[in-house]
Amino acid sequence: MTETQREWRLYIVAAVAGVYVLAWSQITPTLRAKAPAAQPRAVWLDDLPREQRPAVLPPAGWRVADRSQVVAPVPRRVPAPSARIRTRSS
Amino acid sequence: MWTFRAMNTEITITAPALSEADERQLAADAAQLFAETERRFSRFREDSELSALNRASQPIVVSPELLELLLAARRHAADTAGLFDPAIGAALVTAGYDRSFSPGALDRDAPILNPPTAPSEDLAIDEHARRVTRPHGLQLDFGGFLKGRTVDRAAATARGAIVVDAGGDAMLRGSGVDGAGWLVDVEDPWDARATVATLRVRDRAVATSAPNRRRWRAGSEQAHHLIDPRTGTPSRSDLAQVTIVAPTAERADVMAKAVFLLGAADGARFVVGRDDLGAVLVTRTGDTRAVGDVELAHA
Repeated sequence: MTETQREWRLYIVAAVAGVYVLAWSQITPTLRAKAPAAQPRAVWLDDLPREQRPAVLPPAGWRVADRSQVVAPVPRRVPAPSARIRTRSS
Repeated sequence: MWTFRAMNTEITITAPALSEADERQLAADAAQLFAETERRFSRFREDSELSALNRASQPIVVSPELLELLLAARRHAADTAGLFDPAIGAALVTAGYDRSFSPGALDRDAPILNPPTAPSEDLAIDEHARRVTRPHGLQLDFGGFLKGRTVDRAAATARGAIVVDAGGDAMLRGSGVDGAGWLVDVEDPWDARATVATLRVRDRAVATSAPNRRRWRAGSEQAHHLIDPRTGTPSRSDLAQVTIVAPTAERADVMAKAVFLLGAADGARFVVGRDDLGAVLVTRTGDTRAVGDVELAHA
């Protein structure tokens, strides 16, 4: 192989490598954008629909609480409502 | 008007355009909302999700609601250059505020020593995985920020005019009884029966910060709940009280604390520099000054 042929071969290899890099730089963002979002790896029990909740067996003396079990205070009616409010530190 | 007690505060709900039955249902829904929020995010409840995070020695996955709270708190911290910071929980405990407040219950002979100052920005939050890593010693307390946020959520459940008032943190939607705006009396910090100013408020919220109620004795000094995150100790502000008017009760509460910590001069500049805020400042020498977007009612 002559000196000129060796140089040409180097040019061709460099050109092919350049095209390869350019092609990947165009394709990679598209691939990244299409990649599915990772799913959350954990979830709170009461975020799941009731029928999908796994059975949980707590230790003796413990129970699994549910948000719906929160006992809310019962509002009482104020007979003579004020037309103004009062702001203060509380 | 209906009232109930939650978050160690008397809550009142007024929706003048609703029938009595609808107003009662609105108040019942609000009571449920406040109870659930307190159950999940109070630092005083061993079984709350916030307490689980405050105890966690390893990364934990938090609920979407707690993640939302943490991110909102982070935004407020950035907006106030760290003057609002929920990471004051450990400083509150060190100062003696280690249980739900009642007058005299927190008095102690020990002074405040070695106050912690870890900022909440040290909390590592992986939003996508909802994973939160708590540095050792960092304790969160959502305090009035959570109360204000819950006031906003309760007010958002109703259409039309409504007032949700949680012990002075209030959202006032509509134009009040006479159409000129709801009347809001700003309490005198030295005399609970007196008023330093009366405001007209339409479709906005108010909140007040002062050390006059939640205070206790720590050694030879008086401690209070308005912790300065820069020092980890109760603020020595030259202000006695700050009332903020803002678009939401959450923002009003956060800004009331920040302005209180800044003091009278810097606090006034802070308010004037933000178009959506108004304030009534009461200094420790008894001067009262209204700044920013606030409307005083004339008797």
